[in-house]
Amino acid sequence: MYKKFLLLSKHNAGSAEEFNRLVNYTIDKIQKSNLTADVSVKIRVNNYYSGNDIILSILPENYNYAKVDERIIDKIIDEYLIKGKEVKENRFDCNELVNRFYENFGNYNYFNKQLRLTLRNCGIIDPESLDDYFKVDGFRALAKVLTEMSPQDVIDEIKKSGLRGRGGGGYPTFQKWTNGARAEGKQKYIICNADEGDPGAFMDRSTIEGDPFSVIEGMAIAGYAVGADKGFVYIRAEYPLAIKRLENAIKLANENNLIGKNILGTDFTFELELRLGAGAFVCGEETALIASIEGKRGMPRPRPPYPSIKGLFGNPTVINNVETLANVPAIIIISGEWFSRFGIETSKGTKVFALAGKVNNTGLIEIPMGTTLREIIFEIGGGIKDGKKFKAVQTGGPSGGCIPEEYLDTPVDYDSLAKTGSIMGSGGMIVMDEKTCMVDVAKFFLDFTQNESCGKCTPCREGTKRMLEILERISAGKGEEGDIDKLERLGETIKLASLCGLGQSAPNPVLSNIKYFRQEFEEHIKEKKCRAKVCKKLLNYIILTEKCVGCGICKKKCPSGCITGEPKKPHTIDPLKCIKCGICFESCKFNAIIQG
Amino acid sequence: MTILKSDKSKVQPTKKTKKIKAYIDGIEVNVPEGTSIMAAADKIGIRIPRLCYHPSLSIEGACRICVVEIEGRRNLVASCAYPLEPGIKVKTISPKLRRIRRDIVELILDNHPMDCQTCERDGNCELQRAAYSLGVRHRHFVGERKNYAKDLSSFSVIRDPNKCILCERCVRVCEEVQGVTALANAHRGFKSVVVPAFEEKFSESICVNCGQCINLCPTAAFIEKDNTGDVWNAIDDPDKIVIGQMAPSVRAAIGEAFGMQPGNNYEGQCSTAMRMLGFDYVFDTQFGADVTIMEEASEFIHRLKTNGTFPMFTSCCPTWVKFVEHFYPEYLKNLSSAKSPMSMEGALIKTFFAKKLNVAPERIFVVSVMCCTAKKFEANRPEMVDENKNKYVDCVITTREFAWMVKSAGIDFLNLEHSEFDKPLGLSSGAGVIFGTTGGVMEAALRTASEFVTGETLVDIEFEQIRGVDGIKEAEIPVGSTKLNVAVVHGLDNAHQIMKKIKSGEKQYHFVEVMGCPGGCIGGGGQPYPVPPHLPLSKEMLIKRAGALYSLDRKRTFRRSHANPDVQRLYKTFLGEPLSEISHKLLHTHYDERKPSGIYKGHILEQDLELKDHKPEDMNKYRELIDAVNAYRAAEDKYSYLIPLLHKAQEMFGYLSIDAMKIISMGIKIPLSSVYGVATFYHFFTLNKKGEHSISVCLGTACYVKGAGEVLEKFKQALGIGLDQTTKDNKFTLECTRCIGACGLAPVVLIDGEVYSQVKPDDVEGILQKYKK
Repeated sequence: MYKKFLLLSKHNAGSAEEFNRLVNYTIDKIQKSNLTADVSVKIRVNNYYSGNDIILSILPENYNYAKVDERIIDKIIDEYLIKGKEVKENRFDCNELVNRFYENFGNYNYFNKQLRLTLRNCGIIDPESLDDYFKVDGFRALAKVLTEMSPQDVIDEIKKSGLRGRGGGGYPTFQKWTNGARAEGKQKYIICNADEGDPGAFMDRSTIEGDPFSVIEGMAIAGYAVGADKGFVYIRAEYPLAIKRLENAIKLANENNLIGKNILGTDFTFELELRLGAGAFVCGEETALIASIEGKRGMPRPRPPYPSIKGLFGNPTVINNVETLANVPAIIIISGEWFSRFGIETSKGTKVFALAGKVNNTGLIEIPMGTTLREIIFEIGGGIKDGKKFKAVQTGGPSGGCIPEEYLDTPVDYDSLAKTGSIMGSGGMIVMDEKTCMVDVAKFFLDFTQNESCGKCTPCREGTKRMLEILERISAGKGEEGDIDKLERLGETIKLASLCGLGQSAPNPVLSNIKYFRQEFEEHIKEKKCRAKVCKKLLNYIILTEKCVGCGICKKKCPSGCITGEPKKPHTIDPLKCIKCGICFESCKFNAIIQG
Repeated sequence: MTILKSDKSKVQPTKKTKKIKAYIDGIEVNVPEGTSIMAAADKIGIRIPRLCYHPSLSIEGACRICVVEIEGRRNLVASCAYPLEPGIKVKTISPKLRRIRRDIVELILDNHPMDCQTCERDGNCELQRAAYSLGVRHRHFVGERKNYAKDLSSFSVIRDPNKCILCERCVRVCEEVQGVTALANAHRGFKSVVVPAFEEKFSESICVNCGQCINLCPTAAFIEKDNTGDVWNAIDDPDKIVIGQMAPSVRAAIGEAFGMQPGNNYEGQCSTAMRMLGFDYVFDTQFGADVTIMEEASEFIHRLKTNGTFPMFTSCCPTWVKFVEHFYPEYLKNLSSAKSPMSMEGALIKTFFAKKLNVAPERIFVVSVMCCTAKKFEANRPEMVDENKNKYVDCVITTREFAWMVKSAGIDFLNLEHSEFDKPLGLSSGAGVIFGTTGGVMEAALRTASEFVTGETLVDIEFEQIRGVDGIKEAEIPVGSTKLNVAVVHGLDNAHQIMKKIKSGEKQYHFVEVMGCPGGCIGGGGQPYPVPPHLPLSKEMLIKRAGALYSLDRKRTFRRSHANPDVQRLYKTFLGEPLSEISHKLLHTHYDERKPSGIYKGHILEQDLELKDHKPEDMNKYRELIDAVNAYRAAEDKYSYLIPLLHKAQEMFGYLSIDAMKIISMGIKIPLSSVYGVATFYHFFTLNKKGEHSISVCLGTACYVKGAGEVLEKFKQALGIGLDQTTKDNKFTLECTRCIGACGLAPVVLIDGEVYSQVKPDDVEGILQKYKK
């Protein structure tokens, strides 16, 4: 029997080379220290912390170390494992399998402000082991609803919890279930929407990869509450690991009669099927998702009728997002009242975000609703990278907007974020610094939605294209007086008249950027200037005569032949010929060329 | 039964006809629960502008011009799709709505050719009308416009995607009303385009040339092939004897092309106008119809007597004939071998009448004025030629084309003197007249067959049971001692329904009339665009057009084909008997199975697929795919396995080949155009073979703000290809992806699944070198 386990975890996209080196190093070290009989070294690939860090945990003590390298490993083995002296350096605390809800993550800033309800099992259990899931009360919630609760009891408990849809809209979950339960129809369906398509968002993927059973259990409970005996998980085809783990989880649950016919010997039957998406952001929209499962083009249709009345194959269908469903078992086991203690009045519980961009700590975070943006960025995120100045934070992905510094104290909840012109969205959170150009960001998101527009309704199909053209014009230095008005006018038309949520929110990134950073747009249009120096066509390159030594490298590399000068004498750039590629700027070894 | 297939997704009053009260622009309305806002507004005289809406088609809700405000709600709703709710206060007009509607029309115009003056639809284009009435007087957002080649391949229909506004009325009519689904929306977003499967030529597709897409199109994205030039040339050629013939339903609808309401008959004006245009002789296709009845009724009696193949199907409709060739080739022997009235008339002109004139048939140029676009195809069928391969009908123009010719010649059509058709091929019976409406051929055939069988004069010759615009009409008609089970069908989806019943043995008929277009020829694809307030497919309009024919029938001296004295003379002097040798040579034909690429029926057999071109290892994969597809054949929700099967095919081959898509289409019975539409909608599917290595640059937000755009540019430069392209040596394919969830490592590049993190443009060459060996 091993006395201790050393667990080395890496993010699944982290450097394999470094990780393997450290694993080998640890095994070597354990052997050299004659600890092989007592200590087992295990490796784990995780997803919830997406930094380049390697994390080491000691079990059963559950000491966790971040930013692990050879030195830390030496220290842990030499001092703790051999001498029994605790190592505090780089340590952060979490009570794995003991305090399941991680209310206290100790003093490591990244985890300090976090509260893990949705991700309670992620990184803790082996996502491919049903036994592991049982250890964290897995399927106890399902057993409880099947034996002790009526469908209405389940809905009441969810109502008490105040759980709202985590897909972005924030529709009360109990209401959706009630509508589904009341709808007439012999056949009803539960669909789990795992078609996470926002650029910069990977909450659902991590949840499924880390804790697939909770999602399945949540679906079965929803099925019981609504009266559905069939469920579909609609998942992005681009998530092979999540698909594999979910398939495995469904198989295991089926084998153990936790889903399938007459679950746990009761009358309740719930069959589960996996359906792969095929790369269409619009399929995050309920009616488009249904069309896609039905084998059609993923195009939304007008509502009503709502899916809860007439959904998949014309039958009542309840669609919930992964994160929403993952919360359900915890609410059932403990109580709705308990869940409602977290968060704030209108938004209960926690929300998972994919924190990324120009912050020091990036990765998946889970925070209680009501945490402010400032806390997230400057405490959890550890502030802006390289000491640069904060400019804006983008939430809600292509449907959301950029929030400037003056709103940093906005609490994160559905309604407060909406008031800033952004939205909660599904959980993308990108931090931008002064090197980010807000025209460029607006262009980026619009390019995305324009590409993802299904093409059904006129405002979205044609309107986003025209908005993008205007933005492209502005960032190419061809902006005209009145372009901002045109963007605002088109934006309003698209928002108000589009058929589905994609179109209705597509202009948000542009409109919010204009609202908060109008000055930058005007600079681009009137002064042909990009202060972040991102819009290449607006840059000018000048050679400083006092610094130029006349080495001729820039002249040689310039693709347009616009640099002239005698050897060993200062060179000059002909601004009319310059194509603004920036090669001279990058190649000058004497910092003699400036961008302006 | 309705004229159309079940109105599945339509907002319709629910069974309980509970009435609800609400307010539209302050006016109280009381309508049955489930009535749409648009329908309720129509009732009180408020016409909300609309483009994609059509009452006979499913609700699309796509154009968004019909948006209205509901008091207290933030979002606007499409009034065509939104049911009126109790107590709501709807505003159909406001400064905001005016502006938004104008913006939407402007946005459509910005992606539309600005060639109204030279467009075939100038003056009757719904988009033009909307732009005018909504007050679009300035343009603000001009930018890139779509640019597609026109598809001129079909004899009947020209497809011009540049004029398409993506209302999908054509797609819906082709699927929901005609059950053909030759058209589908492919690709997505700004690149959406309505095309046949694989964007192949229309002539190679499953299209049956009915022309309903033309009728339903609000603009000129679909239009008939213009043959008026050929007619003018023939008229101007002094050597040519130009002989016209005109279909029955032309006279019942042409007035609408001159602004008249439907329901009047313009027979006399038509023949006068044709003469004024320079036709040398003007005959009537109705004469051909009378001859058709002689032959067809005789064929029917022959089948009865010889215990032949039943049910016998009419074959006057070229759309229906092609439909059988595509979808039900096993029933080709059931089609009457009699040619259509047009082709019979053409054959008689170039033989019987040429002889009378004593001229070579080559000098005669036969022009058919038809309500139909498929007749253009029929005239060009290889079966419809003489022994020297000369066509019996040289040129077909539609009612619309004929009206254009009349207008361009400055003829005051409505005020013309009436004139008679020329003899001997111009006199027609009332039976010939009613050929133009659904049920007409059956009624005409029964009038004659009954008398042929019994030898007695039929007293009541109006068969009410088979009149009207119901999609499928059935009757039991006593003829002598036997009772004939007959059915009359129009609209091809209804034809699918009845074929299903015939195939299963649920229904047994002696005689079935099928017309491809709803309403029969009066609703043909070549008829004038309806005059407001009528819409294409409108029941009221079809009933009125039919009424014009029925009243003409009643006015005819002879109402039975066999009583037509000129027909009797023709048989006496030229043909001899019906079904005689010369009749068979000139007036009968046969048809063969067609396998257009859009077909999706039958069992999947290897030999059907012409897979022999593939490499042996691929053949095995195809066999495996066929097995996988066949596993779902019987599944109730088999359609829903389309995307999983496409995934499977792509996994097997690395891309979706045309043959793979055909196998899937046939196996789970989804029209090929729809399979193509789905395959091109989703980014994950590729229709092109990928290179050995797939390079995928993440363009998620985190990667983008950290410079992934520049990395992508560098890859493009280094490989000399654009996004979603493959290098010439098939080594690399360059793609982009949106977030792989490794934002902490941004910017990242994935090559064959391996992750490269924090990539800088300078790293690109080095990374590529690893794979270039």
